[in-house]
Amino acid sequence: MGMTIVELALAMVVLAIVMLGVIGVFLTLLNSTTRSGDRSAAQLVAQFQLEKVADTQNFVSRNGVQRVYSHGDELPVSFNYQVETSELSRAGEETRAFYVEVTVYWMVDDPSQGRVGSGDKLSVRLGRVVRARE
Amino acid sequence: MVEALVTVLVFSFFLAALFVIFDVGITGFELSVSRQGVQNDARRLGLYIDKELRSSNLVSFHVEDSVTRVLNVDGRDVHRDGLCFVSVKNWRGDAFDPLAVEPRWDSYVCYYATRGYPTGRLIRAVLEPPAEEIGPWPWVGLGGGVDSYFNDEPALNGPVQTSHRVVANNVQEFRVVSSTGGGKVHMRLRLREQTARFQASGDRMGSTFELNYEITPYNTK
Repeated sequence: MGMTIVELALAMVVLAIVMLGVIGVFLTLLNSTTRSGDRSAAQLVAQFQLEKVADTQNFVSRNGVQRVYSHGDELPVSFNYQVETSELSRAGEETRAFYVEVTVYWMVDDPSQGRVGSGDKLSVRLGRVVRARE
Repeated sequence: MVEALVTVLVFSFFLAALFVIFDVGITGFELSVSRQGVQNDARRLGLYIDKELRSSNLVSFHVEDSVTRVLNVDGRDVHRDGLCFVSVKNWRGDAFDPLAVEPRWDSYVCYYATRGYPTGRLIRAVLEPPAEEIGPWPWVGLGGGVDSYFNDEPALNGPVQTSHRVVANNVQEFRVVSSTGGGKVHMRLRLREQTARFQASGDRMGSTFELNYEITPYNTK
């Protein structure tokens, strides 16, 4: 009643499939953390650019790149940002106000492409109203 | 005999595969936790330092960024700068002087990174010199020697230091550039932890997270 080679081989294949599945779960966990780090860093880049507009009062729309270490220490990730400003006109208000929107995207060439297979976004967008100092 | 050999072979394969799965799993989990920890640390510190810097006066900023504060870590030059600025110990109550239109400054706060290898500690120290020496200008005592108030062992700082605490243990770089003319200070804080090691391959993996701030202190005149 000993096991035959065929039965053993079948058991090994089943075992290999199960193990690959388990390894896949762990790798997914690691990737999620990496993406979470990137997203946090992107939000900070967006916040940094918003504050910069408010501090420098430079309301010109522009693009740029900021390289930041966001997960591993091999190479920094390049975060592309787009700063878009539009003037808000409100009757009766003396000071000028702008709506400033910053879009940050990474690992893609365009923020509209900013999704990976699992549905995670590869772009973040923050906006706020900034009043011009007199 | 052949069946016994095959069974041992299969069992060895099973054990090896199990070991690899546990190794990848545990190391991956450690790395995930360490990355989350570094991110949380960085965000917490960022909010904290940002608030204190914004409340200060840029003219009072003293940046210690001499060559003695530059280390070579893994072939890369990293700064472990120091930064001191005027502050108020308690912002509640009568912290603001309406006649002078500025806060009633009563202390200096210093942040500096120690020069440990490969990472140092970020120290927050409070200095309370005599009242007449405190104001919207850099404290004169900071010029009395490179390490007089940026010592790697904070308890050995000068007598004016009334308290200190370690706010981070995993600082790879703390770089401060102050531009008095430009009215702002740029700060880069990079935290790093190297915890995870894959037993099977021997590869070490680290977690790094970096913050960049450009701050205009509100009370600059």
